[in-house]
Amino acid sequence: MKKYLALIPIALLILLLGSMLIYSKGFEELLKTMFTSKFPEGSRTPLHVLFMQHMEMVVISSIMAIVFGISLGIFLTTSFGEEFKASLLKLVNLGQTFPSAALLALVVPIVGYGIKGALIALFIYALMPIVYNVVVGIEEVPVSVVEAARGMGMSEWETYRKVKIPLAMNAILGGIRTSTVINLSAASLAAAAGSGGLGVIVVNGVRTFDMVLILMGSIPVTILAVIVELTLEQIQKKLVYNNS
Amino acid sequence: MIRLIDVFKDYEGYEAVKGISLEVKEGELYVLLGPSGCGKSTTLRLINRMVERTSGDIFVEGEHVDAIQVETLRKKMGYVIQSTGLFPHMDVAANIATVPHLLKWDEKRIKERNREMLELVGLDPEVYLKKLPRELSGGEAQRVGVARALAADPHILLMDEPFGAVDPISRLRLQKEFKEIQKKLKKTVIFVTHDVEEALLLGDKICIMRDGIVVQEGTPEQVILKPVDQFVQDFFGKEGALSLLARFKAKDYKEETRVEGEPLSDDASLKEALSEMILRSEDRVALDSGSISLEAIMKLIRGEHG
Repeated sequence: MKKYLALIPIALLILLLGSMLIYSKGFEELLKTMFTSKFPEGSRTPLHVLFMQHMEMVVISSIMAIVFGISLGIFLTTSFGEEFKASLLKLVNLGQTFPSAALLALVVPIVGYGIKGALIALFIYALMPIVYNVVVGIEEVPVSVVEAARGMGMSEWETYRKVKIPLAMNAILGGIRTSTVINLSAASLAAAAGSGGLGVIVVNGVRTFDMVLILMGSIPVTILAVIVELTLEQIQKKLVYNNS
Repeated sequence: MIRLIDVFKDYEGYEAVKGISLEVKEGELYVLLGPSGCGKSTTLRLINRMVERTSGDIFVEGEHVDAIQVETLRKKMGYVIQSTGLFPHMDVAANIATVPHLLKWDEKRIKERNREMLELVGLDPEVYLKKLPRELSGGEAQRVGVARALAADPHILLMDEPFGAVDPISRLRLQKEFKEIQKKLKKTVIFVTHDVEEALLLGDKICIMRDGIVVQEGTPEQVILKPVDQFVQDFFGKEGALSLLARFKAKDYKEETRVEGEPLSDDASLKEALSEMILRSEDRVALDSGSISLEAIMKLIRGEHG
């Protein structure tokens, strides 16, 4: 039973988030008892629709970033990728340091207004932690272990599949965790690019100094981020060989 | 069995191996001995192509190493390294089964082989099969390393300072046990070490290297009693001859004469017998049903000289 104990907070948070979305009216009323809103209710997109848009953006961009990021990271550690490593890591890093709002502003004129722009920006944003952690994780596998694997006749592919990737798994999952959580909050900004999501009410709230709107958008995002973080942590514990 | 012909290895201007030729016969334990940086380890790694040579030819069981796919070549040779290189995320069973898995043996055969190998290296399968490498002591880990190298029953074993990182007491035990295993299995072994005692104890033939070349090659008796130059003589030191005695078992030179005192253990070497004589200040010490005398040791040495 002890191993399910860690799942209780996750379940409770999901319950909390679910009730916020289902009883969004009540959630709004609750906030209105603390803050005043200038907006009449009922004239907006329902909260659960915005939530689903938010999820869609994060899930699609994260999956793209995970697939592409892991492949790119692995490639950079091979003998073929070695020479691109320094320059590509720099480029990927640059994508990260670029302000997210500015990145969105740049992407919109190129691909147009809507979810596409947001997806591209979020993808670039999520890529860096994944690529970086894959490279570091694989490079930290002890040389003697890799030597032994090669010396026993494993092909390059076999050393990755049986030795390097399993041993780097902790770092790789750590990268996925970081990038997904970053993406959840960065997706709020994507509202500015017309992609919908919970960011829509946050942006509206900021424009009109409406505390109720800001909180209605940002509280679900925060709870979602904590749920994702805790869930991925559990997965990480399951998949990674115990190093303690 | 293994032949190196005029092999060079050049690391961008630094010559690690300068024209080595040698031949290792089937079933022979061939020691590459020398100070650090003499190129002995590089020479070993040239054979399984962990290092690619600059020029020269290497033949393994009659085939040129370039004629075989490199992974196939390596699977034919067990490989043991100083740091063991055990896979930390796999248990002992999975570690030992590495090459059998690569060769796609069926599970039943692999399971049997795992047990057989652990018993061979003196570890109880019931206790050790499910352990992770981090739960093993240095000596145990190195035993598992040897078991892993032998798992697919290769004809050839390449060992790069395999017992170098183990504490002295476990090391001597490992060396003696390995000698017994080798007596049983008769593998062709190339063994790299900088430890003179280890070389003299284990080697059928010893190849002394310095600065990337072979200085002398011969049986332990030859290199100790007839060193070709000052370097070889200095390398073995003044007590080199004593180490030579470690090769011989006292019970093989037993005489019927019975004497008082605690008998030596069954696997005691002549070196240990001589040491006991000094400690007890006697020229004869007891063995099980007999004894060994100083005279017998001297006779053996005179024979080797002749």
